[in-house]
Amino acid sequence: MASWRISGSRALLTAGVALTAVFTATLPAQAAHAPGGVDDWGTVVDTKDCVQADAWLVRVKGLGKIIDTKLFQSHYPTTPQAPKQHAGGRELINLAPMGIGLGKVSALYSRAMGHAHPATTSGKGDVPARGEVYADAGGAAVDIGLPYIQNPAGGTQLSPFGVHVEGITVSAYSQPGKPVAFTGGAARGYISVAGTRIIDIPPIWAVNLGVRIPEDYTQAPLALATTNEQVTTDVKGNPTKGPNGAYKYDPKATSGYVNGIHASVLGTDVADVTVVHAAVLRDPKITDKFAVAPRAASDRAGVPARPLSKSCAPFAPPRTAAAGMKDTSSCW
Amino acid sequence: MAAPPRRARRTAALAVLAALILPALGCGGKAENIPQVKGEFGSRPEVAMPTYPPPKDARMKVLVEGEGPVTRKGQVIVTDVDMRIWESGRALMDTYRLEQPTTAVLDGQHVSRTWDQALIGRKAGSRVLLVSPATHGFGPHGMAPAQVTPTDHMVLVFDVIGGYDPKAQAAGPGTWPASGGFPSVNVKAPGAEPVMADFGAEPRKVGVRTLVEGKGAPLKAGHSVVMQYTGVVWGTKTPFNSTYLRNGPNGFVMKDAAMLPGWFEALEGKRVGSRILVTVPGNERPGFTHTKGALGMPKDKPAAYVLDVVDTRPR
Repeated sequence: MASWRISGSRALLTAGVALTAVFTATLPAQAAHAPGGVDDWGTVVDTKDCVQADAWLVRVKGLGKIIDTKLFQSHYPTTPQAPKQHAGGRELINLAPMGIGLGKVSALYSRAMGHAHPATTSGKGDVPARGEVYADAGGAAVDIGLPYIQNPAGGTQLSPFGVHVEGITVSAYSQPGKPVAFTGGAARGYISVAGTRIIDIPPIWAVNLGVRIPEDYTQAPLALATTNEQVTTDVKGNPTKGPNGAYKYDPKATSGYVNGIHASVLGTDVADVTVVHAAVLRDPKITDKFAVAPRAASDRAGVPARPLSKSCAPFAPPRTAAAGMKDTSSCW
Repeated sequence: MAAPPRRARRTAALAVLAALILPALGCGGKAENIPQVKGEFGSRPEVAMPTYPPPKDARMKVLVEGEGPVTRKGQVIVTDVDMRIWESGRALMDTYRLEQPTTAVLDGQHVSRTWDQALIGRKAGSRVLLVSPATHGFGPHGMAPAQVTPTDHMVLVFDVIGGYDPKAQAAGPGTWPASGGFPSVNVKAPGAEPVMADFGAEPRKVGVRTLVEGKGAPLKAGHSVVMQYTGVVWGTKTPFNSTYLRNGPNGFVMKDAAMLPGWFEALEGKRVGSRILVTVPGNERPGFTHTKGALGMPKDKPAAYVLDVVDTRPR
């Protein structure tokens, strides 16, 4: 089995895994995709608010009867299709939207919050914080196949293209006066083809880690994948550009998104899947005035300016945090 | 200065006329702002990227007009495709080297609408060029493929093998009892997945039983073949792979290495319209798990397949 390897500057995108009670096919009635139809960021809705957040667990395209589907999508502000959060238990959930097997997931979550950030300690409610925006998504175990074909003999799935990850998590966080901060990673994982493990995913993911499958350049690629893809955007969700008009990471950007895994696959059926996604939009012209110079304000104490861990979302699990979630007023 | 001879004046006039008319007819590369593509249908295209900037919007051009049936909305399209990046010329993925054509569903939900424009209303056997912003060149709703920046542009060349009803089959419903070491087969309704039962002893060699004799074009080595199929591990009911559980017919290359063990032997010389039952021993291709195109099966397990041959096309 080969090892995961950095593929270079072009690595991009993706994301979304996980979770709970209800999965939501995103057909956003109020959705207003970013100009140009680019919605890599997520679902940009019409709102007069100056912050917006989006997170989902799995997004699959081009697979059998599964349409472009975002499973367990959360959004701020909430929409009929996307509540503020999803949170699942430890049990395995069989993902079979539209009657077609997609895989199995457990202990999954997604959250999207505006004018607030999560509590730093498990069990506490979310903390109101004017102008802040936060999103995260993750899960304890994710097994996705395109399509998912269980191995009758047990073990690695027989899917033409399969992704297995454990402890996957991504987050995006933007505070007044500061650029957007991302985290992304997983404890372990692998990509498989027809029951054979092709590539091991290491525990620490470099940003925009990419791979071709198979890695052997003498062979034609069956799939391209990127992990921990971090993309900065403008306040409308469009990727930031350099002077030549091409995408360029903007270290000062206040908006953007991070994807856990994004894979584009040929083979017998065209498919595109993203596993765990977190995205935030924040308009600095309106929200930077809420910046607090020394971070000693009572409702912010203890919140890190940037996530402390490269592999873990910096805040409490959503179920415990959910209890204190409140709607906060717009900053307009 | 002496006046130019009449012949020279005529030549100059024709040259000016050609310069004005040919670009409008699509014969001028730069005027169309599209890459130059060489190669025969069914072979990986050679693509020369222009040095000028890509068009802002998606563009499509039929490079070679095929002679087969016209693809229609509601069908799935079996096609070969080569995908590259305009800005760098970098090759992304292609089905030619995989020896595995791909199936696309053109309902606006599975792949980008630009694929609809490129693939619907084309005659089978056509080669089609699509240039598109990366955000509209692969998946729907504006997501660029993995490892492609959102501001890049994609160049796709399709070789359209054909358009097919998602439930297309070689034959209608029927029941074929078990006999001669073959399991029974039952197709309950038009388009229904064949169900195999009444398995006997495991096969010791590849077995081929023609359930329905086709009368269409013969299958030849190296050609593309389009099939519906279902496969089970010997003695089990749940398919380990099946086109009926996915989009509909898949395309394959008539080569032993590009197919599951036993398929090539079973298909060579058969005709379109055939329904074939194939039994394969577990040691037919020891250690095999999948082809380059990710067509797979459980390792070293005896298996049985029902293959419905829907179409074939030279490549």
